Amino acid sequence: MEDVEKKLSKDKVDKYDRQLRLWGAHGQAALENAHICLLNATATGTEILKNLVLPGIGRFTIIDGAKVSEEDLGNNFFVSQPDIGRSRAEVTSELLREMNEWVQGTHIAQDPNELIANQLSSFSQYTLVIATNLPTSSLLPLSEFLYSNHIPLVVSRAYGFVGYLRNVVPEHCIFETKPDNPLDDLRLTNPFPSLATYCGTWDLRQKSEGGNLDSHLHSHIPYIVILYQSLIEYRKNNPTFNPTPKTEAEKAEFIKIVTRHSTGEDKNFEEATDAARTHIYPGYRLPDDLTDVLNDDKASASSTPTSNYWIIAQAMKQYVDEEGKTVPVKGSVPDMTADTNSYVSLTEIYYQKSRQDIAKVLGYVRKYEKQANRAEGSVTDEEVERACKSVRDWKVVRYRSIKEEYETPDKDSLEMSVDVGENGPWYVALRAVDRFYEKEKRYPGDVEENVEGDLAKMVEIGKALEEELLRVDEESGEQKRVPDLEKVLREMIRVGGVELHNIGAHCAL
Amino acid sequence: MASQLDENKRWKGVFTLLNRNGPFAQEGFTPDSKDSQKLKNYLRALENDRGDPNCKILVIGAGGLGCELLKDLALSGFRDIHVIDMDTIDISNLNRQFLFRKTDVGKPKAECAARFINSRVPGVNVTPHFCKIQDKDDSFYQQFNIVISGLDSIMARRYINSVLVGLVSKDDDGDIIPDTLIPFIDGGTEGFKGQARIVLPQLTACFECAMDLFPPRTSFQICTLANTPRLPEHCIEYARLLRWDKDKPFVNAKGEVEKPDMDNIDHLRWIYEIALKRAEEFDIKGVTMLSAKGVVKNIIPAIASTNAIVAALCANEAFKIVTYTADTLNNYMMYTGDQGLYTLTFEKDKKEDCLACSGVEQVLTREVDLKQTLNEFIDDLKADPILQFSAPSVNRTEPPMTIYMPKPPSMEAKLRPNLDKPMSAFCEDGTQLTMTDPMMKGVAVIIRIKAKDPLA
Repeated sequence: MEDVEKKLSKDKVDKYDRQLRLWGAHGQAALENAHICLLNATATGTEILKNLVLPGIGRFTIIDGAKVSEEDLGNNFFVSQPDIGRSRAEVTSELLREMNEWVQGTHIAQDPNELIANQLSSFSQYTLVIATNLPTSSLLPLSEFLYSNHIPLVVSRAYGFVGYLRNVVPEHCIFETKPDNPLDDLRLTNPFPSLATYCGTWDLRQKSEGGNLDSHLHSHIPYIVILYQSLIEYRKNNPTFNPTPKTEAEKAEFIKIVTRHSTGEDKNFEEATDAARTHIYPGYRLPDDLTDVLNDDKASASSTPTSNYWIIAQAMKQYVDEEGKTVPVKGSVPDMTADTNSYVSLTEIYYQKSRQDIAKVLGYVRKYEKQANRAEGSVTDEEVERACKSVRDWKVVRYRSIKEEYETPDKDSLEMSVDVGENGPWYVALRAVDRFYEKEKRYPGDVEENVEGDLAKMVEIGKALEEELLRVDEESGEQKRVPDLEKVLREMIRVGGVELHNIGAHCAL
Repeated sequence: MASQLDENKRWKGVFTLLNRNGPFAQEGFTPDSKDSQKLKNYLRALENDRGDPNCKILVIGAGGLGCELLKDLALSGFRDIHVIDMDTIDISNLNRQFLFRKTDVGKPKAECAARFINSRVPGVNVTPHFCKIQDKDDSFYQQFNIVISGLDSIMARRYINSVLVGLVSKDDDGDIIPDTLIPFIDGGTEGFKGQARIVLPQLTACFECAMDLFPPRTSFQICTLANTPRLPEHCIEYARLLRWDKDKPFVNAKGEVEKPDMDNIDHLRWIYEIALKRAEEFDIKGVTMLSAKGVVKNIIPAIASTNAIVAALCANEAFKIVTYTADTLNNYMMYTGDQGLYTLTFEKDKKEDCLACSGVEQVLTREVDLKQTLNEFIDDLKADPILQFSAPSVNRTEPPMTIYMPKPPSMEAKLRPNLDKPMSAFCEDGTQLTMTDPMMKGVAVIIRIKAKDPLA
């Protein structure tokens, strides 16, 4: 846990305690440096923004041309009765800002569709845009603009009981994916010199076997030492075996060696047997997601980096290539049965190695920084250190634009989703609603008189969508269809375009 | 003021779904009949000349989940809402409990939450109860049509679950009398994860049915704390558990030694400083005020979005249960949001031998070394994943004998010497002990003693 108290004011540490434990001071800084734009202060939109204001987003701007209506009072928490008739952008921004005095918030009382049509470039000032209830005719141009400017867009809506969330980000670069059960990085199958030296100085034998450790210290030999020595012996005695135990017979032989000097009741030898499963048998290899990042074109030595992330990736790639396909050591050791001295010594050994490794990476970072004509130190030491410590958790995610989604639909995923009974049909239904709205400038089933007639129109739209989004079945030669499509279309009409608060709240970021 | 609002305009979203049938509505949903007004009267708890019943809903907890639940229920059309919470507001609540402000720190959560919702949502009537859930009797819980909990402890959930299970009555044919069954929606969150479940007491899996999914928290071994510390946590717990009793650092005005109070900043600071010194002694890095606080208070990280997601889910289920507008969750959903977004919905089976809802007193056999003390026996049962007793009473069935009771204080004092006596003083192989626990209302568990063979 980094020393959050050094970086943030006491007030912030007290109030934000519960979230700082999740994302640390650097995560909080990222939040506070962001300027979020919300289009349409609907129930869904304001609920999403609420969950950003409370943890302390730096700034927000709400763009909405509507006036607060009675209908808003039924699903939107950030309007109140005396506000009916006032600008919804203004009212919601007041009531959202009021929740956190450290957040700046403004509003633009204008229809977002107008702004998108006439002042698209004004969106380049935002760190991220949230769009709710935008018709396709506005969503497409907005998405294209933001995508080409590398500004993330989040599209969300609540439609009756159905909620929808879509991230549109050309490239999401992650250093710290924070997996649930992070793998400790012990390097037992390819130990570095200082680790090998330390582990080699121990005599695992009990006193009765001629060893030099009393029973207390013997039962407190760290399992790292036990596994290191056992692996050496295993390899020495079995030159025809896999160097890292793979088959059942090899594993059994290895465990025999591990437990050879145990009295039978020692916790540390037990821990060694357990730890073999995660630290010996799998051997050492780099995670696939990390390999993907390092093999990306943008990590190659000759590429021009578009962000600090890629400068660090270039540096790491060189490190990996030159250090024999290993990454910097993490530098921490999991708890284990051990006497304090040996545990602290081991911790120090891994820590010192990680410092050396980080220093090497830093050297490469400075090189690529210079190569890219960036000021020295524009990539901070701290950033590099954090990236090195979590290197085995790196990942880059690339999302397609809305235009790509519409023009070259991912038929594989949709067909599978429909086949296994998941949410595919609802995707088609929501697309049908959007199409209907583009044509009729209202939602299907908006008033009682339209319910029946709208069904026929929606069914026609649905058929056309099936032909766009699903393929022709190879065997039968027939167009694939969504089973029970009419059912979901009927539900869309039933809903008549209403937004339920709970579904909007559930779409919260 | 509120009466000037056009209810049909305001509740357009909710009423559209109540007025119209659809392919996903529950069987038996008949909006086209005159009973659709009955449903609206029920949801909105509106008094009317037909005498239609009114819905009363209870929210347990006015914290991270509770604040969200109150907002969600009020904006779903519910009008008669009660909320119960025994806590007062702390500054660290404000990053997600949005019904509270800095000036509210120290005030009761239930009261502040009710006040905020009542002023923001016209016409809603949230009634606060600033007390423990154990302070209310059966007749209090019986008045509600649905109970939703946003609690922060396993034990509290266990308690309310046992109360609601206990309220269910069956008729002579053994069928549940519908009015006595109160649906129980339970939500929980931790960091980026959460879950929600629906319990129809005695009909579907109850909270107790899944008790062994939450094993008791393991603590550090004393020998590690005393002799071989390795981690900052060891140094911190050393200060709290071992040094506090020795040094007795705080004495109150009456001259009594104060117990460690983790909300007292001076106590916290003392623990931090002792822990730091010890860490320095052993060359252990990483003791900070933040980590010390986290360890001694067992702090669980919490953010607004997870609470919003889970609460909205629970409130939506309540809405569907009451209105039949769509099918309800059957019966457990898990959500994780730390690596992308992932949810899993499945049906949890009712446990046939559940301690709370099986309808039959369970007999569990436990192997016991008769030489161990009663206190050790009780500690084992506290650590037992199925039992997880908190402060059990122990009675022998045959011949009858009250062996130990934690309350009332007079009885406890009288029976306390029994804690140090060996089990052989009260039982032999085959003896049955009847045990009850304050966290499981109306539940008795019979433990059949099987003497452990000392030679085995």
